[in-house]
Amino acid sequence: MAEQNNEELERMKEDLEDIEMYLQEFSAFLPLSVCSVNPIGVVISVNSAFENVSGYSALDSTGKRVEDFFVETEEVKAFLGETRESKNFTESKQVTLLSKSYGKRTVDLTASRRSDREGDFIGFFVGINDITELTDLQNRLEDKVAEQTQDLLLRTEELERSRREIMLALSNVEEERNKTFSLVMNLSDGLVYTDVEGNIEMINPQAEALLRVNHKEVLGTAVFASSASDRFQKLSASLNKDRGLEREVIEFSEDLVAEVSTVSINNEKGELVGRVIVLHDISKDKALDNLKVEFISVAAHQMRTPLAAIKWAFEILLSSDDEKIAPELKRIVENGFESTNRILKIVNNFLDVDAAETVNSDYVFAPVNVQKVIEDVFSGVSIAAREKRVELLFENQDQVLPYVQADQERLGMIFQNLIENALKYTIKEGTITVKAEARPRDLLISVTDEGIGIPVQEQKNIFSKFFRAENAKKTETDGNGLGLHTTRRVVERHGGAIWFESVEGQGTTFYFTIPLYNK
Amino acid sequence: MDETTQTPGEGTNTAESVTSESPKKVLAVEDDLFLKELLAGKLSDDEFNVFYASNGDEALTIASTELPDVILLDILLPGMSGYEVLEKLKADENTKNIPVIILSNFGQPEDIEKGKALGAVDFLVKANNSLDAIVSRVREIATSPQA
Repeated sequence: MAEQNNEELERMKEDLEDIEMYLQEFSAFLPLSVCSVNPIGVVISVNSAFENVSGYSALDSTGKRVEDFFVETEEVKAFLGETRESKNFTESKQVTLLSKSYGKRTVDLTASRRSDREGDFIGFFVGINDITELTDLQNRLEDKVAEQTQDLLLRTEELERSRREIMLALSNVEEERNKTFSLVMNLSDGLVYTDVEGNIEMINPQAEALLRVNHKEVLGTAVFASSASDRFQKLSASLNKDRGLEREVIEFSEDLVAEVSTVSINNEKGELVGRVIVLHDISKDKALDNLKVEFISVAAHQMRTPLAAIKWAFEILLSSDDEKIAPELKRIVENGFESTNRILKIVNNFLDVDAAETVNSDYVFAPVNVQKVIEDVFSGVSIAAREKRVELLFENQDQVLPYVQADQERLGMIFQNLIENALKYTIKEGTITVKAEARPRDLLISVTDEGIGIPVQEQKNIFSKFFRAENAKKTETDGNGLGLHTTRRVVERHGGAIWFESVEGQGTTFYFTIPLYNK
Repeated sequence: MDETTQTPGEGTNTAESVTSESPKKVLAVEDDLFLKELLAGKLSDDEFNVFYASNGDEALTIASTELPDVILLDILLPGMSGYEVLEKLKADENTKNIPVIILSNFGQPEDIEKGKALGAVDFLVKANNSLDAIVSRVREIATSPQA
């Protein structure tokens, strides 16, 4: 029996040894660091994972108080206390392990209460799970999130700032728009804005008043074909679809004369985006002009009667017998006669202006041979030219010049004025060259002299009524400042244009155009 | 008009007359005294028998009684204008054939047109013509054969 018992014991011992080995192998293999702690908190065994993590060998570890492996000793003791009271596993706790090999490690601490068969408390299993890397990862993640949050905040701020800037810019644009708008609305000139096709997009109150229309009836309609009012029709008729910029004086009615100009509006790329038609009321200027002309005309007429009397009186004195008048007096009478003739010439010039100003005075347009007109004028001034030793040249590009559509007498007056001026302001010797060149629609004529020229600062006034340049006054005291004014009126009445180029001290070239005769 | 039956009784000296006929009659209508005097002197020197009127009414009266060979007519006159005088002369059977030269200081193309349209044979601007030129034009017209 004893033997049987012994055998049985032996087998049981073997079994136990097997189990122990199994347990040892298992615990050595287990990646979780585990130690076994007796009821009073002293480590009694550790597995190899524990040795590894804590850096302490099994020999060093056993006998140490379990809380001494950690920074938070009190917390660990309290944790074990809780575990002891609870029946199950307690929740894990994050603490710091003081590892001999790795220093401070963040670990998850788990513990379970051990009991014997009777249920009496016999100690703990304590598990340590190194989560340093996980924590690091988590921290890094948190840092990253924080960083990104910061970044996001910055960006939000930036967005907010640019939003505010945009709002500001918008309000500036709005303000600018308002400014422009009130400028346009309060401008004394009438403005009509059209798109590229000529549809009216905007019209200001002045334009409404001048054209006698209401914006409601014209907005969106074509400016080139409007008949919203008589005046608007007049405007439409004189607008040119092709030309960007033009300027024209339009007589809308007896009491409204306006200077109308069209300005192209281009974008930055230079593409046409619309046009502005500007209506500048010159009725008052015109009325004043008319008054001036009327005054000149009346004054000139009034002066002509006494001047004729004086002239005739001198004439009678001059034609009387030599015995009746002393020779020294005769010279004085001659001078008196000459002076009277000069005054009469000036007065007649005033009346020429009058004739040119009169819009519909009797121009008779017919085909005219320009060459003939030039030759006539040349022969008229040839004596004066010879006296000054000035050569008169006519150069025409084409062998036979085409006929122009002109009033022959007035055309002669244009040449007369320009050539006489050229002669007058050539001090001594030189050449006056007249050139004519046929172009598709008109004849371009130039009159070039080698005279005193027109000072730059005075060039803008050269066509103004009664204007005389300073150097011209010094060179030639006679002159009324009407010649070029009249000339321009006459050229324009023909539908031509006149302009000039001049260098003071070197000479002047006047250019003008006269439309060709159309069969 | 019939020149030969109108022999004036006023005894002006006809010593150097170009024609053997009696002097031609000229009616000058001019309100400016000085101009009138100068014209008168010149015309008388040239052997014309000169009559004057300083307004339209006088002019019409003298024209119908004297039936001059030529009338020199100003436009700007006190009262009736020269154009009206011209119209009335042309409307009257007795005077409608008397050649009228307008002698004025108006000289715009439209003035000239108007004068010619009303029947004036010529339009002379005072300031632009010498007395000699005016007188020779008067002579030309006074001696030209009339219908």
